[in-house]
Amino acid sequence: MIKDGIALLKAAQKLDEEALTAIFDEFAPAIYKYTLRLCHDPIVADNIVGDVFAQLLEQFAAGKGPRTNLRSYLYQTAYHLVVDRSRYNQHTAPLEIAVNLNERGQSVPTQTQIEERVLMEALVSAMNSELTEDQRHVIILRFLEDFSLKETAEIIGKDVNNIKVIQNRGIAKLRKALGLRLEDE
Amino acid sequence: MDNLVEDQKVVDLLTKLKHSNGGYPSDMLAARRRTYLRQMANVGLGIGIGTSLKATLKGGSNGSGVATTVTGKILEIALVAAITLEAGTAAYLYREKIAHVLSLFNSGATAHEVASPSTSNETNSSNPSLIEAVGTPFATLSPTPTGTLSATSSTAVAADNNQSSNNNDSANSDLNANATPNPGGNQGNQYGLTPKPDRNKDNNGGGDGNSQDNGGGGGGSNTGNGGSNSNKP
Repeated sequence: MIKDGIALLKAAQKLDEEALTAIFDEFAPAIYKYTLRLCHDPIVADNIVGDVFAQLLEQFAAGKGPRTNLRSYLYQTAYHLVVDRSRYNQHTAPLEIAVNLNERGQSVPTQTQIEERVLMEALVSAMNSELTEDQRHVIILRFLEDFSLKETAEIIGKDVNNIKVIQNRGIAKLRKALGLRLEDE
Repeated sequence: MDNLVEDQKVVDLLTKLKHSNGGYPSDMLAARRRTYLRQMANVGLGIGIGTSLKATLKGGSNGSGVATTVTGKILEIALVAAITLEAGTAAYLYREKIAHVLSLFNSGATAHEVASPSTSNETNSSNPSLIEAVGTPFATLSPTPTGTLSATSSTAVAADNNQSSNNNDSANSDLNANATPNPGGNQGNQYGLTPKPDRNKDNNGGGDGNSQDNGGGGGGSNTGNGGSNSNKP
């Protein structure tokens, strides 16, 4: 089993089956999650995951593809696919699907859990309604996917300072939208 | 300051949201993984062939260089043999057509030789270049049956008929004057170089006008015509 990221990438560039399978197993769930947060549709997210890894195979076969940061590359591909799809059909379903998927198997929630859930739903609603497209992408990549400013800038294709501005404006919007609830807390 | 605290609360909420999202459903993940493995096998098959061909073409700078050189020579010999075999097969299959084409080349030269021995009139009539080159000098000497020369001869005869039969010398001099001039080395188009014959005026004069105009001059009409022609510059 190939553990090192660079060794995994080099092996994948030589179309090593083990390395390519390991890449899928490691990154497919994360890409699915990220895509689901953006497009809100499990089937669309699954299709985008398939497209992301199909493009990765094509790039490796053509002697191209990522050289250093495989994770950023995969997220970047997913980001572009999501943006293309959103431009195509202007799909804006709520993010509650993603939230509810995790809570299927839970029993009766406590008071704290209910309050937290309400707050979360408000946050998700604010993300979907208040933020611009760029702000939503930056917030998700920075705080939900744990990318650095530089990696986020690479994925979205903007300057690092620009990403900082977008992030601050996005958080300010979320703060305003959740202001009353946060004060209650 | 308050904003910073509230911003941190928002960031904490986002961090909680990170763990609250659902994962990849196992059935969808398994199906997607199967598809990916199939794509991987297809790409790997194509790439395997491609890389081996590329390595063969490059000749290789590593340890397999000798092997690839030998392989290249074998491939080259096989290619030459295949081309030779194909050419031989094509020649055998189309041997009749090839023989026909070759015979056409040979028979073309023979036909030229057979056609050349002929009479001078036939040669002149069949070869237009010879008509121009040979026929023109004979225009004043004797009419020939060719088209160009017969026109000239008919003009000469008509002029001769219009002139008085008594003045054969003057008629001959007119005929010489009306003949096609020397092309001067230009064997091409002689259109417009032929002088207009005077017989038009002669015809007019010979019919009505000349007999009246020249009537004061006395003498016969034929002689009067001859005198008017001779007085022209």
